[in-house]
Amino acid sequence: MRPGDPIAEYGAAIARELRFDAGLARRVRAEAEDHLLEALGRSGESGSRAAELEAIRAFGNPHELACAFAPGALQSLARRAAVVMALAVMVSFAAMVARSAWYGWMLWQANDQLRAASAIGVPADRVAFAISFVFALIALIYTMTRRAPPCLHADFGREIRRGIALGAIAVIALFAAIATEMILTGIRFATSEMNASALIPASLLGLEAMAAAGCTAYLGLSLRRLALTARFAGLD
Amino acid sequence: MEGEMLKGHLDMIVLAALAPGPSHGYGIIQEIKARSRGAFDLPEGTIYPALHRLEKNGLLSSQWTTAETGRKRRTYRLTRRGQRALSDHRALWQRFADAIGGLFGEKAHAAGRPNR
Repeated sequence: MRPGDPIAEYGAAIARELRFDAGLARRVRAEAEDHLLEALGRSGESGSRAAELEAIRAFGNPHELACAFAPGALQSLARRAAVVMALAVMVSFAAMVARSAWYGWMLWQANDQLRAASAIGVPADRVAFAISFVFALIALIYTMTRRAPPCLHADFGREIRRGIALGAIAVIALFAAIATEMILTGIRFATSEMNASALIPASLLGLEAMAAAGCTAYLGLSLRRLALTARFAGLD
Repeated sequence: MEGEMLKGHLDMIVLAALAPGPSHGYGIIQEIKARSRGAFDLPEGTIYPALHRLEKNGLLSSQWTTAETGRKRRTYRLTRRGQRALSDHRALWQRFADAIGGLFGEKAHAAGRPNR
């Protein structure tokens, strides 16, 4: 950036206004700078400060431009969160199926204590997982079918919050399912003769917990960005 | 032309400007100005949120290319869905314009009647 370069300064102003989405800020800044340089090149007035300022004026106010990007940014945010959540549920399901298959393959028998715990734990696990699956699916369909309006309004902000709330319910249910599985696995390990083969189900359970924790962290990040975008667009 | 009226039809205007072939933001705004004979004079940055929105909705695709000057440039093109959406917009607009034309025609006709 040359000192006092109006186009570079304008690009930086756009990036600052779009700070609620770093990737979008980089792309829009690059597109705006290319646009302005192209306009100057075509006018044959490259290097003229007055022409640069006129091109910037014709491009528009950075804050108004950023406000127009806010609906799309919110839509992307909610869609990514829904996809991450659906992936977490699928990873957990795959790990759960693999763990059950491993117990069967290793002929790992359940003792009386585990059978008693499973009588309550297994149905609870299934219900929690089913709730998680259903809510993740609803959140995914809901967020994918929302259309970003040209101008941000409170109704769209509410739709986005609803999508994230559906996702949050799915994550809570997923945690409940994983917690139940941890208890059952703990009982299984505590009441069995341990050997190296226990590492496989323990690792799979760890994978489930990591998927749920990663999903929670991503949802938390999404909520922070949602709040930042909503505050920027005056939807608070 | 009224800015708010233009904004309401911006997606259709952008799709129509891309109908001849792929273009970049500056090229699209110039196409809009030229084909509307200067009637559509929005702040130039206004089309970028529309381009991004149309891309997210699958009506446009885009990719970074390198301009003759060596600068990186985002080029947009209509997708099949975009072409279909443009045809739909065109048909809808034609019906609307015909209906409004009919209304205005009637008014002009009535205005031309001698007073009784």
